[in-house]
Amino acid sequence: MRHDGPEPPSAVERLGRDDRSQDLIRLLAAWALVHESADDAWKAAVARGEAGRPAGPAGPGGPGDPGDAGAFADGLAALVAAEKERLKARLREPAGGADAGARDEGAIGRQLEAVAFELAELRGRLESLEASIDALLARGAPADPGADPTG
Amino acid sequence: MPVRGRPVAAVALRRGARAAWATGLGLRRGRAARAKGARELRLACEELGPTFMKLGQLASVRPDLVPPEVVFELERLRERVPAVPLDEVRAIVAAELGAPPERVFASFDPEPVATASIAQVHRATLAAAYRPVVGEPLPAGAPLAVKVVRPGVAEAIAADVAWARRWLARLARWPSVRRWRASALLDEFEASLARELDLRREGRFADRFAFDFADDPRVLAPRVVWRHTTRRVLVTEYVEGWRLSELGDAERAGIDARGLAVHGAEVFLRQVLVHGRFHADLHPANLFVTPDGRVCYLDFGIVGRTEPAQREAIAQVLVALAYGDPGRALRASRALGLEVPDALVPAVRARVAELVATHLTGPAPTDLRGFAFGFLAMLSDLRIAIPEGYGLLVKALVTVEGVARALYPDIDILRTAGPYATRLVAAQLLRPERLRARAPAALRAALQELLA
Repeated sequence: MRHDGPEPPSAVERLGRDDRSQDLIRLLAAWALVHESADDAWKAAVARGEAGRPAGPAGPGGPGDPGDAGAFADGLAALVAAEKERLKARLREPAGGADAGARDEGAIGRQLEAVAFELAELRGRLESLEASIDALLARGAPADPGADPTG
Repeated sequence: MPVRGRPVAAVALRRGARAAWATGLGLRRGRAARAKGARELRLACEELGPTFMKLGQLASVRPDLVPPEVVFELERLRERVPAVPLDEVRAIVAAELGAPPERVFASFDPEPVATASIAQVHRATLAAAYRPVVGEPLPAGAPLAVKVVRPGVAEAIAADVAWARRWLARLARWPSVRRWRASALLDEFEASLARELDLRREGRFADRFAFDFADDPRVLAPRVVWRHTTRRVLVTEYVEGWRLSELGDAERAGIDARGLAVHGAEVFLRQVLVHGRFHADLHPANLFVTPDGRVCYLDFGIVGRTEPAQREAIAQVLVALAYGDPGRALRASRALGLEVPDALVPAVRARVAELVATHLTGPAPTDLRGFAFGFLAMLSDLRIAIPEGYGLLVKALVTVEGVARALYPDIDILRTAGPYATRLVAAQLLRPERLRARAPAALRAALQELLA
């Protein structure tokens, strides 16, 4: 069935946009990068995907049909292949690239907040101890003959 | 018999006789009879004062130790304690802070705004500006809540616990009393009260809670004034608003009650499943709704903790219940320590499926309380031990349902919690370290598919 609106994203496109799926794709890319047999499998799947992609919009049941299970695997392989190239490029960069920098900054920011909280907590404990010590000192101070012990 | 022993024994005998009469001297069995016995126990706790009130409150969150009828009856414990005279309050403040309240604070209200078995609360105003651990500074003149531990409460509790221990040793000859594992409850009670009597712990948890939810503008925890806080005095900002237990139709009309109820359930799940620390004494009197539509959490005296492995299993149980999958709920429960003997598995699975169909997946809004009661009663009838953390969790979920319904009576808590728990389960399953652990087998299968 066709409709006139924009094409809904395929399962693979949705997979590529989701942050958590990105973790999976990164992992698969890393796997492909370090294991030759896996890498060959991705390359073969990408080649099949490219060879089977029709020029126009995908027809039902054809190799480019978004609902076809083989097409999904090939599309996933393409995503993994692209991620693998990005991973390679990042590995070639001396300091891990801009993404890694931003991730590090986020992590450092969170750690700094946690440290600042612990410091503030420590200040709170010290203030509480100071109050207790002041109270003990007040109790031990020589009595003011005109003063009420509770006020 | 010691002086304290006499009135306790009198109340215990009177209430025990009534319970025996109600249950036909123990000949009438079944839930209705047990419920009548539980009611007498609750009334006895109310008559006997602070120690027994606290003991009852502690038992009410421990379905692993006491029968479900008692758990749900003890929830209804109501404190009827007289206020501590002002002179005694002033003496405690002077002993703890080195000066009487009139000199420590810019003003101090002699009338308490709340009294309970452990402490009472007075209003005051801050004399000089203060920078709290979390949040904006408090200006001079800010309204404060001054919580003061009642005088002599630690000594009274120690005496009552010693008395209760002697009697428990005698009563332990009866198997039905032994089954309650009352001695373990008493040990835990002593430790829990020792923690609750040190108000600095409560202040520290309030700070931690505020830090954990600093990114959530709808959550509020009172800021602690540490320079006036010690073991027996806790000073926090005073938050204006309505207690959930006092929320009338007029107040409800002015706020997004449904939104706050849904949000409240999510805040609880975030405490249990993400931070691993949760407010374990939630009830409508411990929650305020502020005029600007935020929810303020009070009274962090009892705190529960969950370990990472437990958090994952809890999320799995919730998701399984939300989607009506009793088999999965039981499998995840095993990770929380619930051991069902093999011979009982078919019976338990059938009963859980029945409870799920009756209380959770029917056309009416889910009834988590009904499900929990039926589930715990079944475990009790089959003599299946309930792990401590599991019991606390079941009870806490029922409490959250009660709190959410105090805000919005028609809320369906499980359907509300379902999507949040599902997101957490998905996030846990897709964590890189978990993927790394599980990926080799999955990849092997995927590669076989690709190469075929």
